[in-house]
Amino acid sequence: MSHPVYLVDDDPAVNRALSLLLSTVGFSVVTFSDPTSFLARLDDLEPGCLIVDIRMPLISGLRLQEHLAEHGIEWPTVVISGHGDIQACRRAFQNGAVDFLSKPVDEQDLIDSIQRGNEILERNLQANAERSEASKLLSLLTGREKEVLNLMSQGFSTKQIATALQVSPRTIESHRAALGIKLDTSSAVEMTRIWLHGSALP
Amino acid sequence: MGELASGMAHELTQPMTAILAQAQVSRRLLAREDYKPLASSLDDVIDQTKRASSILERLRNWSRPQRGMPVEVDLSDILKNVRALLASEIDRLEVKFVVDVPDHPVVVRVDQVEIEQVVHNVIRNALEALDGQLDGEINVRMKKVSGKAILNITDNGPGIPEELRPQLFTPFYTTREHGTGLGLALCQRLIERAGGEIFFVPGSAGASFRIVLQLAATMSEAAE
Repeated sequence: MSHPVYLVDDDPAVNRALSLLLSTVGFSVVTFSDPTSFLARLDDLEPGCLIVDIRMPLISGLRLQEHLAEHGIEWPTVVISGHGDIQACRRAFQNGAVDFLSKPVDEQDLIDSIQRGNEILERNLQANAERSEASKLLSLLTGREKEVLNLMSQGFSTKQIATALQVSPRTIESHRAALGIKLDTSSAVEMTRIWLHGSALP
Repeated sequence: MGELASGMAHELTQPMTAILAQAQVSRRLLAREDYKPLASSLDDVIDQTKRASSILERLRNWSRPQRGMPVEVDLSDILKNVRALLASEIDRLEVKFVVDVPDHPVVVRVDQVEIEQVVHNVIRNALEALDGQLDGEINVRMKKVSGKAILNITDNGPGIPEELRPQLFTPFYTTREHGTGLGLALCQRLIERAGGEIFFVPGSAGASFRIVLQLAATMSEAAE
């Protein structure tokens, strides 16, 4: 599945040319003339790969990257620059850029970077989906069930858990049965996976 | 000349980026026999090539030794050209660059290249003063006052110590390790040649310079 490409460059000719190039090879491209107008529409945009020029008035591409990071948005970003500034390049990568390309940008380099960005985005989205799915499942559990699951995920046996919680093993068995129904699995490994994914959510 | 060249190089990469992408699009369109959008891509290639050559033209003008003919030019355009040249530097130093110009043209009759050189020099000095400072800011204000164009360039840097001010425009006087001491002296010569004046404005927190030029309209009115 292909994600949209968001192109942010203050030069209209560059925006026009690169978006035409990318849409010709099959990407869906939305252009923005400055980071502010991109940020203003951020809430309506579906996750995509970002291509930003490093040098723009008001907010630089680097600042934009930092701004997104502060808001917990992990969209892959390709930084393009008109001059090979090592310092800026380093900062772009520190901010998590997928790639740093010098202008003029060759089509193949740009396409490769976006594809790499899309793979990263796909992975992030899937991990997020798994996490939120798991945390949704975990929200069905009672406090006691969560306690049991937590101990299970640390590798304790039913007997050990019963001792730790000062109840009978039969009680733990019935908690485990309830867990199996709510989490829709009888596998302890799968339950552990859900616990680790779902409880890791910030 | 070093950072002038790098500013030019940076400015040139924009049209080149557009030209390369449009050419590569054209090749793809051609391969799939989609001829309709080709014309507009080629138009863009032509326009952007012209844009690149006008940048080169400016570079040639800058380095020419003899004086050009005075022409009527909007001071705001001069400011725009200089800002484009210094954009990467402004960005690198993360300086806030605030421009306040009238929305109508401020037409002066000058040698454009020389005045660009002066504005470039003054703003570059301000940038150098702000190097390493957080929240650095340069304010450029332009207005028309009784037949004159007034350009104020103010920074919020450390300012210029009182005892140095009398020597500001003295040739070969410099406090910088690698300075030639010619920057402001040359500025003053060029501005005076254009019939204007440049001076230091005391009183603000950082350094503030004012350039005053005769408006072109009032010159022709006076001649009538």
